[in-house]
Amino acid sequence: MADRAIVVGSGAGGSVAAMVLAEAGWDVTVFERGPNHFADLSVPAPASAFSADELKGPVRRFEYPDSIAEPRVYESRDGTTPEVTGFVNALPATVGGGTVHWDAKTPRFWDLDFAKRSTLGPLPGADVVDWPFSYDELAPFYDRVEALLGVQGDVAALPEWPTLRHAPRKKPLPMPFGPPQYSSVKLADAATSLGLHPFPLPAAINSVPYDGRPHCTNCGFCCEYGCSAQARGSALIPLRRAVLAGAEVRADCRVSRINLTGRAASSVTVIDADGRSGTRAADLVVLAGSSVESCRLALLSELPDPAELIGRYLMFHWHTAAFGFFRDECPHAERGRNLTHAIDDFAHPDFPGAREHARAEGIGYFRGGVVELGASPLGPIAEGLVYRRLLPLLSPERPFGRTFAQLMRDSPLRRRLLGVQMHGEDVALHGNRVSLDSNLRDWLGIPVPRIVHAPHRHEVAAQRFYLPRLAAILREAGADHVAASPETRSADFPSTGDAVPRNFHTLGGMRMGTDPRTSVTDASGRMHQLDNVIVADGSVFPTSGGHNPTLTLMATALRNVEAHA
Amino acid sequence: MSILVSPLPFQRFFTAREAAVVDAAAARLVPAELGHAGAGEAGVADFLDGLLGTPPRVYAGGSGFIALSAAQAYGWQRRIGALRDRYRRGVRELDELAGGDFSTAGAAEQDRVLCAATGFRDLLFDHTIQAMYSDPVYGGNRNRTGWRDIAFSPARGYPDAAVSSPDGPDPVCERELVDRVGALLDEAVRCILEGGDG
Repeated sequence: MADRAIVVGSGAGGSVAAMVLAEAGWDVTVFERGPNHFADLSVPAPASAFSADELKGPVRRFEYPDSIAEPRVYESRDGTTPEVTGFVNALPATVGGGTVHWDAKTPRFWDLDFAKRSTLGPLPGADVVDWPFSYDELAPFYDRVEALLGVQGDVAALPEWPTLRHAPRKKPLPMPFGPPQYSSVKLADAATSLGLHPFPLPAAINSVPYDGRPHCTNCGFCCEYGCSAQARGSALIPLRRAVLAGAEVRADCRVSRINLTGRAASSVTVIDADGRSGTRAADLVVLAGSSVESCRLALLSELPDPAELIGRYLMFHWHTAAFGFFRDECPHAERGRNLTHAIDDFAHPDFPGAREHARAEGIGYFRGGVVELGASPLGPIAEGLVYRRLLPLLSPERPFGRTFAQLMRDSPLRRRLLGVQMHGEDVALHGNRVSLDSNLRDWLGIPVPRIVHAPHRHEVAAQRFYLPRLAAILREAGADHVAASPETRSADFPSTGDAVPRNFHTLGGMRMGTDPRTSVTDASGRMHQLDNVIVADGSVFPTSGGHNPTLTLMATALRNVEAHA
Repeated sequence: MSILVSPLPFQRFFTAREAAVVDAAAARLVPAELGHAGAGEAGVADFLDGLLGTPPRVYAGGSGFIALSAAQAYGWQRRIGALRDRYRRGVRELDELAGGDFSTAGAAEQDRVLCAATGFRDLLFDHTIQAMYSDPVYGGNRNRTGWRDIAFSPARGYPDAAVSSPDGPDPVCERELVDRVGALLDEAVRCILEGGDG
């Protein structure tokens, strides 16, 4: 009988782990706490319950964990905002995880992300470290995940500096770049005239039919929507290979505890769709529920943690954004794949002026991150909800009536708005962590995660420096009005943005490293204190990087799990 | 994947009179004008009945509505319970402020009442917006009047040329109004980024 592997979570990391283990002959069971919205996981493009339905997805959060059944608690460590209970940076709870509704942007991390400490040095109050492996070691796994998912792009169009200098490539991408979106090109041209280096952003979206899945139809219901055609690559691809190799995917099953015998996990406790609790024996357990949920399960299971590091160094990207509106033109960002171009000049610590600004703020350096050019964030319902909130300012005597309908028709905030979003690096702090809330329990009676977080001077300085530069791109492109804002409130930005991090790039909590005194897992994701528990999601990231993390997450999972298969 | 068409008959939440009050109030929040349908034509009470009725129609999919998972059912039962309460009390409040039946009061009187009932008005306005611009399967956006008025059509895809080429100039109709929104863009962005717990 084959050895039994249990994978907790079916998203980006869990799907890769399941594929590697099943194809290596393990008897694999994947437990996913959310439902399965796909008809058949063994075919390349299954029918699904996803659709271009703004009410279902972005408004009622079909694919997310229910915020009443499974709330989280957020505590701003600098005391800026009152405690928040409910929806706190939750990733989708469904077969496929966050990849069911991502817009599949797949840049690579840079060489310096993996050698952060040795390249850039420490930051006071932060724990800047190197990864236990280099960019060059991960590069072949990047190549393989790009081929697996089907990444489109044009390597020849990537700028020599800074992009290729810091993320060199030996091969072309598996499919050509699709149609450039006018909305993104408009901002890319503006970036060029400001001396920046825009490029077609690689994305796991089919520009041509690939691996049994059709090409993208430019429908525009991309980011935050399930792709009903499966033209967008996702965890379903490795999950399908796992299923074809004999893995079983069990939806609506919550793993509530990992049970240990000495230095080994021997079984997991699972609560199934009917509320029955049982145990399932395991020779290997893979944690892949994403940072917050994997840490939560490790803490619930009281896994050995002599250095008290589980849950610490939790990181979010700083989704710093600027929006511009174009009064006399509709740049139609709603056609295509959300956006097609980006710059990563702002991810470089030596961007002109950045070092001087950092020194003035009392630190040696900072980094912003990749900037996505040209998204239009609102559907008509979301647009209407914003006008409803503006009407008391526009029409205080009677904050309703025909003004509303006229705004919807002229549509300054949907059809005429373009955004630029920076995924800024969040440095690792010992005090930024997820733990178990001592009072609140979810609908199954399980303690909920409590997230405690605040920015370091690094992120504050980076945002101060880059916010006006984000706005400048929109002005250069001819926007009639521009506003720039950090996405998340903090002591330094107390009155703008959301009370909780909402960027969904959730990383850290069980950092990888070579020293058990300063890391939770070894260089291959195996927990130092246990012989057969592997972490295969973003929890293991020692630094958060300045680029969309999912490709790096999947490449890391592939590298690490193969070492144990 | 489970898409269910419930075998049980659907049971509305609103009484006929309550539905008339809801539709009359929505028709003042977004009034019809020459050449444009308003919320009164959208089916706001039908939309709300879909959410507040039994069984609730929360997530559309395939040819019907998707069966809620146990966790989703746990959350929506509580969310809907609280909303039912607020609607029952809100309709009563509108009637009381109108001195009887809100739905038969004159437009100026209805506006006066809606100016006073701020809490319930905000709730109903948000749902009116959802009703006007959501897929008609949820009961609102009747005959796609909401989508047609804003020239919106759901995804069917675009040829590559339509993705890459500009559409040309498309000036706004009410420049002054739109520029006032532009002047409030900081506040608008705050609203966009704050999102909200749907």
